[in-house]
Amino acid sequence: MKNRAIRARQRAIGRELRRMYDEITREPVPDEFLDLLRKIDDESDPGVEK
Amino acid sequence: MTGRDLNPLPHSPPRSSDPDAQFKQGLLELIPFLRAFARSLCGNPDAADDLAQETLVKAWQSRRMFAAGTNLKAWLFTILRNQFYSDRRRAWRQAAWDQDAAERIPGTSSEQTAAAELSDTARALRSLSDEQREALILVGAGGFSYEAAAAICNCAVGTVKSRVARARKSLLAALDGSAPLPGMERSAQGDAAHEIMAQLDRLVPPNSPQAAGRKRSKRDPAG
Repeated sequence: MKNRAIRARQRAIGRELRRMYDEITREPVPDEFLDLLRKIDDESDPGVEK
Repeated sequence: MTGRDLNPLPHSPPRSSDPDAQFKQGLLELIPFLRAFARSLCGNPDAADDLAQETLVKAWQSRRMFAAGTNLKAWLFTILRNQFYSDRRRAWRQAAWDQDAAERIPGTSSEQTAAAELSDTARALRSLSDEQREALILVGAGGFSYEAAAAICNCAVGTVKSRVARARKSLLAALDGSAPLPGMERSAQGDAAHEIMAQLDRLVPPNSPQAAGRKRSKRDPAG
């Protein structure tokens, strides 16, 4: 493959990687994450004074 | 971080002057990115979400160690990555002494099915070494600088650069057919037992009695 063609393929692969990653970041956050953050400071937290 | 990254959830509380509340708000906003990075490390979405949740708990417990005003995303990614490797070391040790390791490898067949359904790029990504994959994801998809990625991966900037370059080369080779994609040869072969044995070979130290037993049986003509 010529260098220019390789660079074009690399760019296309790069776009696909970003697309895959962005797709996950756009998924709605599952409730379990929100529950976890809601509960997180109810739990005893030794070493951290409130 | 760009404005696009700040995607407060519908139920997110307003900005507060309480540092803990601010920290929690930061965690909330970064959950989508933790999930994306975790999935690139784990492959399996459920394991990735477990890892992202472990990271949130660890981060919350260590929140006093975070220097306000520095990059929270990079700090969280560092915790997530360390957690991933320490969980995996623990799993490896466990499998190494567990006589019943074969029965305890979870979901081999379902993971194979999942692998077959992934896009070619996603499958090619799984064929990279962990080091190359994480470097490529951080720089190529996550938008981190080489310097930030080096800090997250606890290695030199030059090391990240060369890992990214090698990752790009390997991906191209895998996608353009000069290297096999993981998952394809499996489905062609259709033999889950072979895959389980291959997984065991990777899990069991080569000098253990289990590994020796398998090596003997491998030399036997296979029917």
